[in-house]
Amino acid sequence: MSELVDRNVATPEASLPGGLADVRPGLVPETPADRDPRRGTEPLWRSLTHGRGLVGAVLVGIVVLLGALAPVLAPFAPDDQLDASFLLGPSSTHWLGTDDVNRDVLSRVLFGIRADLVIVFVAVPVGAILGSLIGLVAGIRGYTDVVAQRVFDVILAFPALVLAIALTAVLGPGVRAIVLVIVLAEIPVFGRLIRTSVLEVRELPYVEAAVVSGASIGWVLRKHVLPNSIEPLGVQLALSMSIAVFIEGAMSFLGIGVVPPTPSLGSILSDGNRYLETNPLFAVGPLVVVSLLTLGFLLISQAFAHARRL
Amino acid sequence: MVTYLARRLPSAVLVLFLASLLIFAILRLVPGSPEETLAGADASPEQLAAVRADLGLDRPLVAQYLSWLCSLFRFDLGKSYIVGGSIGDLIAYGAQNTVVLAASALLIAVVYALVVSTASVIFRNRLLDAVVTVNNSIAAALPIFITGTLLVLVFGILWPILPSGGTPPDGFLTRPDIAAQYLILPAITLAIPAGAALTRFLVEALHTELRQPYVVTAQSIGVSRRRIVLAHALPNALPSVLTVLGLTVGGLLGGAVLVESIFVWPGLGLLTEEAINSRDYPLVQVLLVLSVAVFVVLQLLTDVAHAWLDPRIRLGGQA
Amino acid sequence: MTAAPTTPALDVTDLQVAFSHPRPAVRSIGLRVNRGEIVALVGESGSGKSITARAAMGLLPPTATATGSVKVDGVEVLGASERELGAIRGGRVAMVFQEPQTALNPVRTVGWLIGEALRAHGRSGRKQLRDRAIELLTLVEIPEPDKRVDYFPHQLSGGQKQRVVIALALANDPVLLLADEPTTALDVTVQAEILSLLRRLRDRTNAGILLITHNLGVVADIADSVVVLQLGEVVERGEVTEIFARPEHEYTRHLLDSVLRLPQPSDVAEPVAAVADPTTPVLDVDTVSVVYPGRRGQAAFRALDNVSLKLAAGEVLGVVGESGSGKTTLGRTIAGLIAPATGTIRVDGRDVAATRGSALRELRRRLAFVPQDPAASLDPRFTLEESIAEPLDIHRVGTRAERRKKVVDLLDAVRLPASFATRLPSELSGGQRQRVALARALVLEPTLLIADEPTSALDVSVQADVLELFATLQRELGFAAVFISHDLAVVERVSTTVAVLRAGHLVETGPATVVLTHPQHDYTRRLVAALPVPDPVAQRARRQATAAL
Repeated sequence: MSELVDRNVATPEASLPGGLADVRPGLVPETPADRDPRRGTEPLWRSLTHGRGLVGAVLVGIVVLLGALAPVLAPFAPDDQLDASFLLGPSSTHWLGTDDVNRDVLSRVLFGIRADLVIVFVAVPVGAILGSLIGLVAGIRGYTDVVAQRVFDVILAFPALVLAIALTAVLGPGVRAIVLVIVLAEIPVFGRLIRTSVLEVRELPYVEAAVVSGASIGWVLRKHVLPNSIEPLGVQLALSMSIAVFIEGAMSFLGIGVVPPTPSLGSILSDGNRYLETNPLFAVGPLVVVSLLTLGFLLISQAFAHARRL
Repeated sequence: MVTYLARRLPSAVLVLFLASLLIFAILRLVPGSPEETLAGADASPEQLAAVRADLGLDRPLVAQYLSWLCSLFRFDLGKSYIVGGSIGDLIAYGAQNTVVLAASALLIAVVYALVVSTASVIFRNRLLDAVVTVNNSIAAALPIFITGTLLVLVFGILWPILPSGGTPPDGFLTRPDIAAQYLILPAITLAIPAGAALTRFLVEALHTELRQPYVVTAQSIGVSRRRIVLAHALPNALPSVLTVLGLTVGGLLGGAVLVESIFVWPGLGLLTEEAINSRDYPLVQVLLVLSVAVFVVLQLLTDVAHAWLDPRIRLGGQA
Repeated sequence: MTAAPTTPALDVTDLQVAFSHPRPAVRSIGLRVNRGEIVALVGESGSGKSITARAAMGLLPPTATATGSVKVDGVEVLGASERELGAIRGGRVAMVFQEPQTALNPVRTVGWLIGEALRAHGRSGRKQLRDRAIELLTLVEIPEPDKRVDYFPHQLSGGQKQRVVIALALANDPVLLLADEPTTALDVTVQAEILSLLRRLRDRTNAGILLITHNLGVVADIADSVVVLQLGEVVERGEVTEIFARPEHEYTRHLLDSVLRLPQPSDVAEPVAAVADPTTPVLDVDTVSVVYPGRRGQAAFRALDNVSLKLAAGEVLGVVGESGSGKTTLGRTIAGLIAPATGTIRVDGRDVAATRGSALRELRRRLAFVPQDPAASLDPRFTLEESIAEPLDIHRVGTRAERRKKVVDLLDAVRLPASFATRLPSELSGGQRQRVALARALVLEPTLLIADEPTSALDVSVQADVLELFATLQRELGFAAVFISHDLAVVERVSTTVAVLRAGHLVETGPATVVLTHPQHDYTRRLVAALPVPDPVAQRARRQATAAL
């Protein structure tokens, strides 16, 4: 445990003879490497106004809008079985054609978006909050840390789909199972994130100075840890939403997700997969929407990460 | 190094143990009694009794769990009630196909990641970087079931140059060129997310290493950029990439379920899907245990490799 | 094929370097290093000294534009192609870096690395490379070179790592050696060894050495001539004894004035027995030991071993030691950040480890801590006012208006304008940040302040200012302090008493000036002897005296 004195800090000094230095923001550093060019200072939401953040936000926004306006936009009800409409190709009445049970694909896709959005926007935040709470406690107390790590390890030992299979075997397929899988899958992710954050921030010199002067652990968490964690949390939230869309899709694709006849993007894709030759748009419809959604969330998370150079 | 690994072992065992408990509980948590679930809703009382006796369902739970665990260790995997046949045989057959698929996918992903990441770092070409990043983003964003479906659509149906599913009729070894045709699409589909993740991490790891002071030392003694990336930085980047590799192989296991479903590839993934859909719980249980065990062993292996590659861990402390 | 022996090793003419920032980093620099000459390039942060060295290696970042001429052994470096530079680097010029801990590839052996230097310049053959590597390790005086050649960097000490770095630099017999703060990160005894090594190597290889340093003691010890840089320009140059004795430029004079020196033994009278202070000491450290548990299968590490000391009110205790001595651990244990394995720590008579809850909070009001690293001593999100007021907020002292007034008073006390209260740390220089950290530490009027190397990361002149500020405030406010530093002269300047630590043991203690001018213990004597005096004539005399022993 050697204590090498770190005299490596090349802090630019505008030192003139006679005491008080003149303050010049952004002093020329000794070598540019000393000033870390990667340290961004943009607030997260602003990164959504340009570049890939904007693209991502627009993509997600489009899908959300489509889903929200589904009752208005859809030409038919999602469960309507129409006469003589077996696996028709695209036409002016059915933009995406019809499916194998004589239903309009476009309408099903639009309503299917809603199921996905509800799942994603509910399950991920719940998992994030639970995971963060556990991670917070783990970062504070040694023995809870050991327990929490084991819990995380057990959950992480199951690949997400395997977890999904196991849970649906017990609970039966449906939205409840999907939400549970996502929540469970996200707990260790956010738990580790917050735990690392707590452990790192606790060792920062200015936090130690506060502790010496009497700061309690609650103070440290409130004033120093939480503000520092917001950005990595934001990045991970966006990323997890992307993954959640994937999980729903995969589960429904395998038949253990949303129960028919309720439409969901994954189940429509799964059905459409079997009729690629007859009506390819049956599969392409949900395919495009899922792609937009996952890509959009991914771009947002990258923009967040870029904004703070994490 | 031995002590480092010895500390990993207990937690791996613990994880396996807890996972097995959870998996065992599945059959018991399903609504309705286990024998009804297995024999079917309209089974006769004699059939139900037979199932009960077969699985020893009259004994206390702990005994059932222990005997199940023991039979697993003896590789006596039991009978599949609905899919049919001995579980051991089903798994042996499926495992071959899945291993071929997973191994090919892994090979593709690793080679792709190594080549692309080192090239992008060595040549520092803006265009190359942009192409790689875009490629990766898309590959990472699109779920497997989408890329798989797309590939089948494009190469199997629109321009039918490759079979859209199934395994080579004469096995893999007799006509390798035909085998390759069957293998390409599913292997690539499976490889895409793994390759994208690996490439991204490798590029990031390489860039981090290139910012380290020892690289400046190497530059100052006249070593070329190419050699610095390949012989100085890459060995340092490997440990962290190994961890990612371990995780991506785990992802391959989950992905295999989807890919085999799309391409009708009769491996363990397809078997799992069948088992779920037909509610064949003993089979599901064994498959789950298998996947968790593989995953945990993989993590352990990654840890071993990690420790071996880092001389600070391999050799221990200061002189 | 090197050029004729009279060609200077380094010839810089009118070098200008600019980045995207409007102010050029190097405005115009000209200097020359001849073969066999050691030229010291002296300057503080922002002077352009490191950039000049990088330019000579062709290692400027791509964002830099450089004009002028930099000739190494007669060959122009600026504008040379990557291939040409590959031959020049390591072949004609080589560099020794500041931080040996990170300069070597951790997953490669020392021998392999030296082999890389040789391979890059055309040598080959496993056996020949290995033999040459052992030869080089012998040249830099590493013990058991045939064994160490297969060692990994983490198996070597800091001093040995630096020797390996030097061996790497010398692998292809360069005519110019650039040494960028080569001893700054080393303990003072190791520094002395490396400096004499450099001198011997210069004698044997006749290479020219450009030594970049801010440490005027090092300059006095080893340099033949000096070039002084300020803000990208040469302000003075000359032969070393001339510069020290008759500095002409105002900046040079300011630098020399800021340098702290230990008083000469002749100036200080022999020690008189100290009178014990009968009142309760502010700090009572009683047989304290601190043990760090072993990690990764390594044995537990005893950082402090039965250390005892006392501190009276208003007294400043300087704690000195080299790396691994336990001085930082001692400071953190006193501050209550680490729990001692044995022994007790009493502040104002109260046992810190036994106090809990609100009594502990009360006790902590009397303690304060100033960290070392200016880059991390303040929360980057807090304004200066929020940082300084944090202890007040923690203990809910006073009304808002009262707190604001206190902040303004303290900013004034540390000689910063009140308008700074709304600024962020990123807008401040390192010295200013440390002043704010000091202000924050004093806001609750503590009885005991613990400062962990608060000025070590600062430039020489800035350090002098901050130390003077500290001394003044300590006199005015009368707080007791534990001041940790590796720098003997700094400690002597601010402390009343000094404690010398070595490998966790308290080796010697007593009045600061007395111990550091008339050291009793052998180890303290070695420390004082190794510290170079910033006076070339005196330093040479000292060297000869120790060599004669």
